[in-house]
Amino acid sequence: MSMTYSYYKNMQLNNIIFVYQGEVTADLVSSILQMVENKLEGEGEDRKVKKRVFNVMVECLQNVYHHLDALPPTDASSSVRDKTALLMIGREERDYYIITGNHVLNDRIPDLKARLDRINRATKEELKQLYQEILTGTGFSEKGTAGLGMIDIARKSGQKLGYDFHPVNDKYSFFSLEARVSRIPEK
Amino acid sequence: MEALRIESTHKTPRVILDPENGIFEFSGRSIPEDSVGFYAPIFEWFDQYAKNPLPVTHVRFDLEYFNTSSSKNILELLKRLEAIHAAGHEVRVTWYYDEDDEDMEETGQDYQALLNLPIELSVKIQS
Amino acid sequence: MVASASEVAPSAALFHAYPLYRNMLDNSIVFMYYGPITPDLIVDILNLIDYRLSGSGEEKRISKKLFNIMVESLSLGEDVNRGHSTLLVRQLPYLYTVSIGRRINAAAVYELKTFIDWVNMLSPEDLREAYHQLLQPPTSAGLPTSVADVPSISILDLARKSSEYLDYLFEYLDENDAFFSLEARIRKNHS
Repeated sequence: MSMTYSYYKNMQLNNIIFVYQGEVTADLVSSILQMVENKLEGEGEDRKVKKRVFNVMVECLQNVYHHLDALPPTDASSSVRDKTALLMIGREERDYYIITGNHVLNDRIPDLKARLDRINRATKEELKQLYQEILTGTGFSEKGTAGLGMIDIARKSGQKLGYDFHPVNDKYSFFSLEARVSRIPEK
Repeated sequence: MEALRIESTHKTPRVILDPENGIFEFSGRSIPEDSVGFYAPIFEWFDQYAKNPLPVTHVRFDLEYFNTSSSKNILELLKRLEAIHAAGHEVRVTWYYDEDDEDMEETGQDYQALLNLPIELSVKIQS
Repeated sequence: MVASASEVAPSAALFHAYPLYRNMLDNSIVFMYYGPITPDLIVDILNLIDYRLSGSGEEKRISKKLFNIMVESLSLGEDVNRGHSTLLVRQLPYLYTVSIGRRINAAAVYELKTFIDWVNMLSPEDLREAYHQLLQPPTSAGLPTSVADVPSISILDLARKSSEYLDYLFEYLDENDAFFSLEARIRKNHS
């Protein structure tokens, strides 16, 4: 039972609103979005901020979907629950943050890192350009949508993307992605 | 007597109290912010209704879920029906529950035990 | 293997994401929430858990039970002027647990603990009897309607619905407040 207390402290410390761990289905995603929307609404969050959090969240969840989809069929002998993901949202004084976590194959990491770094280095204008390049098929994503999703998240969030790859075993790593949305409404 | 109709929200039940058409119904969820505030006008309505009730009042409860603060209010409501019944007017209550919802069934049994009122427990037909 | 562009200042939570995920997985935690609990939120959380359960093909009878227990647990954490509450839902192979955590008046810890201990000792018939008494406040037969701002009927309700021992924890936070958590369990093979 001390578990509830340690999570209480953890959530308080990290300004977490909620965390979900498990399989991600379309229905589940829509119920999570609904909850976030109502919660921000109920607490009288600025309309633009609310919309932005919502849009970024939609893209983040979509992105998890793509990553899970790209995984090979689960190996029954493996102890890694590769199809389960983490979804979390928090609210700090200045920002909301949305963190998703999912497994990726280790050999995908260099490419993902290169993309994320490129996205993070790009200016607003360059992001827009990159986005259009990919849409028209001249950009860097071989599968298209996965690369597009992250650019979209970056554009909608208006801030750099945070990321972390945590090694799980010789096949998988856990990829955490953080998008932030400023609570200070744009003029 | 004027009918009382309250549309359901995702946290409060739909209420229809319509003597003219003989419909008395509570359906949906009951987890209001302020359950006393929600049920107060319903109590008032029944207090008025008690003065001149129909020969037969058949009340249906078809609730999806509710919290204990609503259970207390529902008991209060049923007590008003009990009084109408005790005054010699026929009152029947049907308490619907989902076949898989043993807690809802048990709540119906609680009311049966606590009141001197014909309460029929009825399994909901799955739609 | 942390690498971000130099100007990025991600939250500490990002680097806790994997340990948190592992921890939740190891403890079979599906969902946790921290903040104020309102009826709207209750509805949204129930929806989410509903999808989760139907996704894992749970028996309707068990889903209903879990739902009813969640409704009351959430009500127990609702409308607290003492800050935020916590909800934790676990899905184990043979068991679900719903824990609610909130602040209470530190001076009332002993009273509340004694009350839950008493509830835990009651037979199903005695529980039913006590519950009936509390439903009708004027005749509550000496039972307190609330203990430490916690409605005693909620505790009885959870004990009845879960038909299991209610687990609890108290932690003193400061001289005024204590953290109180209550866990109700739903056994899947319960008949």
